[in-house]
Amino acid sequence: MRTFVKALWRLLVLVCVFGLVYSAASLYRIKVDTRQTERAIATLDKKRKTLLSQIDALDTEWAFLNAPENLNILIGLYANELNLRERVPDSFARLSELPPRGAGLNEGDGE
Amino acid sequence: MKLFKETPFPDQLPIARPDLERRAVRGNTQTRRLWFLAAMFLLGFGLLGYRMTALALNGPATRSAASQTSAAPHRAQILDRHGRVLASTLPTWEVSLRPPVTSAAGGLSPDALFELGRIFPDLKPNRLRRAVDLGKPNFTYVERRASPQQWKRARDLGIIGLQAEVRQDRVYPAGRVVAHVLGGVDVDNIGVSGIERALNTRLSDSEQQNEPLRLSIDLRVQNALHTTMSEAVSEFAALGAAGLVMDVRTGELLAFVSLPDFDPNHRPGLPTSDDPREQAASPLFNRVSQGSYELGSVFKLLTASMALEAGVADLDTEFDARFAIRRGGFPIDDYLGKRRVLTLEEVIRYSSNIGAVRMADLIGIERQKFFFERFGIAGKVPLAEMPAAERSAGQLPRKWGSAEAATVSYGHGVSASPLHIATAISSISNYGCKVTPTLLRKQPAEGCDRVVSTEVSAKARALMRVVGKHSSGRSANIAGYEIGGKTGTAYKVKPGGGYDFDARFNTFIALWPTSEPQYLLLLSLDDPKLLDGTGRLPLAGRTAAPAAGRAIERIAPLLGLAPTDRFRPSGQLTDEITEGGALPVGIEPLPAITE
Repeated sequence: MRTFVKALWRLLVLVCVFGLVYSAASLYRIKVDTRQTERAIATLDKKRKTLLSQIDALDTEWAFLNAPENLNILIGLYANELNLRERVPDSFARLSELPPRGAGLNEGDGE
Repeated sequence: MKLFKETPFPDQLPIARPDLERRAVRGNTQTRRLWFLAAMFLLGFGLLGYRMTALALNGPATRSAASQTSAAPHRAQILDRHGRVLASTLPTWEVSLRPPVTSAAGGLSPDALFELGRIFPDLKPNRLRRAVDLGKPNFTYVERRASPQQWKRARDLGIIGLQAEVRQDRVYPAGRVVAHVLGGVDVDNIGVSGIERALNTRLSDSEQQNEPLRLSIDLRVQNALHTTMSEAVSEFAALGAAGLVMDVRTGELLAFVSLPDFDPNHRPGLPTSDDPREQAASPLFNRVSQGSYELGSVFKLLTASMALEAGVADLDTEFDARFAIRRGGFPIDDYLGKRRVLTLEEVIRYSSNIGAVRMADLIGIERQKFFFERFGIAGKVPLAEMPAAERSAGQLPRKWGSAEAATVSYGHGVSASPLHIATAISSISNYGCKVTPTLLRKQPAEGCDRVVSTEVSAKARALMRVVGKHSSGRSANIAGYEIGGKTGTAYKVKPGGGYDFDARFNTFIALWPTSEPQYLLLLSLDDPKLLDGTGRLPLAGRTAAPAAGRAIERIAPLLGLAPTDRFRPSGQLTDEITEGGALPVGIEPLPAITE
């Protein structure tokens, strides 16, 4: 009986030792995985920031291209060629004032 | 025989039992081992637990901190109300040269210098060559805002001593059109004026740097007003101009223009002189909220609203305007006066100074003071998105006697910013509910902080429509838009005191549609001249009002406002007003106001 208890104790100790080692190894693996995931997240975050920065740059470039001063220059250059007109109060029309379907447009209209 | 087998002291253990001693010692050792093992396990599992807890709890924070420290200093974008970029931050390169290093490495070849000049057009090559020849200073800038491509080309030249550092640079794509709204930042990207300064904490907050700040400004409206004002400044040879468009329902400013202006991408230096005139002429000076001017007859609208709200007069109340009157030893007369008794409506229609003074007499000094306080003229203009230094306080008379009460009634002897008067008129027009100006997008306020009753608001709008349709504001009357308004022509005050009778500050305030108020436009011209050779006086009705009309013609369609005469019944309120006739009162159903 005593021997049995002693063996059981030893087994318990071994199980605990094994559990400890296993847990330590698992924890080590988790730590490594976590670090890898962190690195991946950091890479993604960096990429996200780079992309956001690039989007900002493109947005800004678009805004520069569409800046009122630039558009005024372009309007001066192409207003006649493209038949550009300023939006004025008379630009509004009722739906009923639109030409009927198939009526066609006069030559030069809608270009 | 029990000899020597029994102890004479039965309660005591045998003296010599080596086996028992050994067992006791072994037992103790085993207990210690067990305790030691338990402690080891406890320590081991404790360590594991600690590490797991640390990984679980501290991991994300550490990652977050790491990602933040890796991020470059940034500033949130500023967008207009439709999402157009007004201010953004871009990485640029600060390219510099260390002349002693370059000099020690053999100097700068003419070819390299020529190439640098091609890459950086603003560079002065001679300055750089001299620095390298002398080997000093230790450090000199080549280009402070180089693009990544420019730096790459410069780096490829292989010049020893040429170096660059990346920095975040604030850029303003819309340029000078929104200069006074946005303001600017210093070399460290800290706001120094405009919204950049007032909302510096919000814009530089790392938690919100990816959330753009959306303004109430509509870039299209801003540009239309800016263009019209620039044309007006040229046409009337004005020293400057101030203009704004406000949504009277919310207080949102859709446009906010001050001329002369500046390019925020190349911000000019502060004026060096302490002379107030020179400072006011600086392009950095914000005439809309910072400037304080005597605005003239636009104040008559406030006086009329006070009289109506106080119940001392109605639209058909008559005032004797036959003769000039004297107050404080000075005569007060009308410009091209009618020399007859005028109704309140006619006082506003013909902009009678005498009538306004008679109205002020009925209102009384204390009530006048009270209403100025209520209309917000007394304090600083409540535009929270502008730094305090760029907001002026209304300058009311220090001693408010009968002479001051008289001059204040027609807008003299009282100074305020154009934004002050625009806010006050908006509040009166907005069915009498107080409006707080803002440069941020905003929903209409719940409830109503009332400044005048809805009836008085309707009457004040009707008065504005009379001026817009039949009187000094008719040059701003765009068909179908029910434009109401009030002109104001004031002599400018000399720096040493007294009026300069050759210089005027002209203002026109327009409201449209008057039957259902939505937008208010203010346009002021500083010292305009009529250059048409007719010799006529450059009054607001001939300068600011037509310019405002042109602005509304451009702006109203941009705001999706169709002309009322074609798309919906025109306002009953305004079209029933006849020349010289009394105004119908309470004629339109007003929307319910939640109080």
